Amino acid sequence: MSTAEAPAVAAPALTDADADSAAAPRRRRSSRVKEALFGYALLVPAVVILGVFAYYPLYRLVHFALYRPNRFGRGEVYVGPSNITRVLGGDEFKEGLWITVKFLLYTVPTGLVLGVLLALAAHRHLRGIKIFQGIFSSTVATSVAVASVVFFGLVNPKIGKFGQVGLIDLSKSSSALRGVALTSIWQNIGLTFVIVLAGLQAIPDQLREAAQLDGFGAFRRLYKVTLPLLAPTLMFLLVVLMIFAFQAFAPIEFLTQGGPAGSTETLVFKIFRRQDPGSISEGAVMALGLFGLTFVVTLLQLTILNRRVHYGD
Amino acid sequence: MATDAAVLPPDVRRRMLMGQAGWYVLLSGLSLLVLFPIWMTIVRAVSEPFVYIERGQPYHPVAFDWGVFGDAWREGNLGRSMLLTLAVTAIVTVAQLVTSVLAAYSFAYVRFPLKNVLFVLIVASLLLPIEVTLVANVRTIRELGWLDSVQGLSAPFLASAFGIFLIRQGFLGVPGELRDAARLDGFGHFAFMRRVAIPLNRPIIASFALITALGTWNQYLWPRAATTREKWETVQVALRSVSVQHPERFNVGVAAAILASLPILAMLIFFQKQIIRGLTAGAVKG
Amino acid sequence: MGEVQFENVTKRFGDVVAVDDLTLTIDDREFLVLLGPSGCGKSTALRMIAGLDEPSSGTISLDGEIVNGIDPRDRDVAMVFQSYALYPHMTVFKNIEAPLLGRPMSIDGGPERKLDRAERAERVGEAAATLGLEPFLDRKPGALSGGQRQRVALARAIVRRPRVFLMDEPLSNLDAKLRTQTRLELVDLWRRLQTTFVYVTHDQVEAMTMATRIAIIVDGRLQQVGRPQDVYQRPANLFVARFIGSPPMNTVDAQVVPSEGGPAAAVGTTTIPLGTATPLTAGKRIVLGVRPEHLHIDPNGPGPGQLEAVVRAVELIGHEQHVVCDVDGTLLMVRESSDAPAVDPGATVGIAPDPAHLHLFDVDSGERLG
Repeated sequence: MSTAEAPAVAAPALTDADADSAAAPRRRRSSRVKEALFGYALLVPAVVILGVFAYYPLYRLVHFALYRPNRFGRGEVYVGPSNITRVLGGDEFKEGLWITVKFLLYTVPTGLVLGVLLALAAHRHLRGIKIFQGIFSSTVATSVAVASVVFFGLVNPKIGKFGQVGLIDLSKSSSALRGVALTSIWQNIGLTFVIVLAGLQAIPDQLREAAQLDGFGAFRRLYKVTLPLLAPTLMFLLVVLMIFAFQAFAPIEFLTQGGPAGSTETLVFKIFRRQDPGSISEGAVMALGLFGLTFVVTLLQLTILNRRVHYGD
Repeated sequence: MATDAAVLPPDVRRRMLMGQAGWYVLLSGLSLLVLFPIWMTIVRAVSEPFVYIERGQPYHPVAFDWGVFGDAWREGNLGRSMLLTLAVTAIVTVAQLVTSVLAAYSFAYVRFPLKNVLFVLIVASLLLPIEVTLVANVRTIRELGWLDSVQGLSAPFLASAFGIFLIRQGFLGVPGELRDAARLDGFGHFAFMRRVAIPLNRPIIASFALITALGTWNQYLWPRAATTREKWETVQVALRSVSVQHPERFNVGVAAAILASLPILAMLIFFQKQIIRGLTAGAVKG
Repeated sequence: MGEVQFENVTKRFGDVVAVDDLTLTIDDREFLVLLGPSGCGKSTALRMIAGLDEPSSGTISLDGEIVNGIDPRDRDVAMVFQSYALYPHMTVFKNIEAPLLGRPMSIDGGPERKLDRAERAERVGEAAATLGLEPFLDRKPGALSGGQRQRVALARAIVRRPRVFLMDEPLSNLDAKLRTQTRLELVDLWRRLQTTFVYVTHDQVEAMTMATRIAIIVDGRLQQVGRPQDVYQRPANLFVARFIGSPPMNTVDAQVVPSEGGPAAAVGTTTIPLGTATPLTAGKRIVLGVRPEHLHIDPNGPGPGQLEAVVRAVELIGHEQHVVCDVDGTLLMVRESSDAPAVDPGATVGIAPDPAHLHLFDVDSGERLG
């Protein structure tokens, strides 16, 4: 009858969860346990990795926030939740937060607009359009480091071609962040283009033709048909670009090292700088702050997304 | 689908061609946005550095120095760092594939309690990216003695919540009747996974692998934080040493950046379709 | 070899009872059709034989051994799914080969072992030849027509020579012409294989033409099981009576009245003699059933024992005509040969039922009386 097999391969024939079979309850119960164990076994690698490198750090961050390590040797000092409130309310964190937000404001709207512009321009039937599409998506091939090198050569005050342009002057604290943001904006062009183009291609031609027959001019079509249908894609892109903005690190390290006068120190940069025992407590709190920020933003986006989707229908 | 221009009356044709010309002009102009920095980079790479100091900043190459690529290779130790980065990329990509496929299969086809709770926990880990967990993970790696090592560079990325989510979606799309037929055919879980579930989802799995490889090769923050010695720098981290830290010989740095981009460019050209599919996986329904 | 037994099998999905206390024995080598309207539980019963679903209570046995809880792969049954469930990424050859992979089999009564590649290829070739699939072995299902895909599904089922074949509405995805042809091929296949076929359908024509026995299931309950002609001639209840036969049986409400010549029923004002020996109490309300071919039209108006009817429509079907008549608000269909005297719509005629072919049913339970 039932051949003896390694538990991992036996897949019991069960699809329902209720009532006993009068004839063979024992057989079924043990094979359900086997199946559950098999299910858990398949999850072990992923769960272990995510546990050790995502959730365990969360615990450690909280621990570092509450217990400052001794600068020399082992041991730690309890500093308590007041440490958290102190750092989160302190200038350092507020500065980092504000700079991160500014960076976000520089990169996200520009990124969306550029992406939409380029995708609209390149979404048509022209000979050789694929070449332009290839060009627009090419920055996908650049890494943050490469993009930073490219823009170092353009905006660095000493050797950059446009290093002296006032608007993006890296040597002045009022404009340095803009210069750094340029790197991200340029790099994001490729991805935003690819995503918006895919969104445009998913809109059936018939809708555009119907709008034409209804007498809509090009701009009206854009405003009343294309953009509303692009809305889900743009929402997705918004989330992606915001996440990129929160993560910004390499351009800062390459171009300004956080200067001048800390005017380009985003939260991640500040956290990176605080890894030695003396300041890791502050770093941990700021990291938790960043986590909280991401959490809140994601939650907001999900609720707005849900509501939008329902209205859109 | 462009109407055959030759068939139209001359003035309509002229208007249409002018319209098309207009688009070409616009598209070329927009291309400059993307291409200009690339062009300047190439210019910079192949020109001798003294040009910038003596003659200011030209828009075109001057005083070619093709040896700069060889210099970049040597000074940036690109041979070694590329090999290292390749190893890390391979390890992470394979690991993410294996862990994601196994976990996704479990969620899609195996019954066990607390499935939904576990899935939510896994997806929730997306809220804890490396930027947030950085200081703690560096500590952990250091305590394990894995600083400056291949393990240290790969460990935090051996699993991917995004991959699990994506591949589970694909598995759930396989018709239930196929699972029934496979059960009758005698396929246990591994046989079904190997012969049916994975082959039917080859496109999305391949795209995921490509995106992961791309992302790992291009990664900066973690390799920067997890290594202290020069010989353990990945390509991206090495770029900083060879470029930004020697602005007077920036042509070498820029040349190194160009070299560092070539593998990715090659991948993009060969696997364009799959990469685009992977990038747009969340954005467009259907 | 291939006997299947249901004993008090019930299957619940949450609050819904899909199969209700089913007791049925399917004999070895018979072609049993599970017939019933959509959603009546017949597919669920089939799946429980395969082991894809387990009974909530009751036992299922194969050849006398209880198989509850036994994995589908160990039951030695094969199934053809409604949409064929072919592996889209595998060639026809590999699809047919699939059941042979990884499963040890007993060769000619010898010890069980896995087949090697040559043996598998031989079996696949055999199955493919039986169904005329040799030219398609290298194609993938996407490149085949619906009829060809179905044959691949059949080949996959027979390659292991199981003891029971299960088929879930296999003809429903085929167009009408192909359906008739395939019906014949399936019965032919059954004869050649000499194995038990359990076949699920909602089409009573398929059931009547293919089955050795039909089991009618409604709302999860078995209504009647028997040979096609038995089910046709002596339906066990109203539902079966109306379900089997095309055009369907006519039914009218009636009341038993006393009469000298034996039991009779009053339909409206007409008294019809009932040719039955079953004792019936006078005054009892019943439902009278009579098939269209057992009604006869008297164009000269209603005579004694005839129902008064107004002709509503006459449908000429070439070799016969269907006359739709209105009897006091109820529509009755009469089948007459084309040679019978023509009647016109609007004419008042008499309808004479054949007393030897009257069916009586209890008006509350629908059960057959006598």
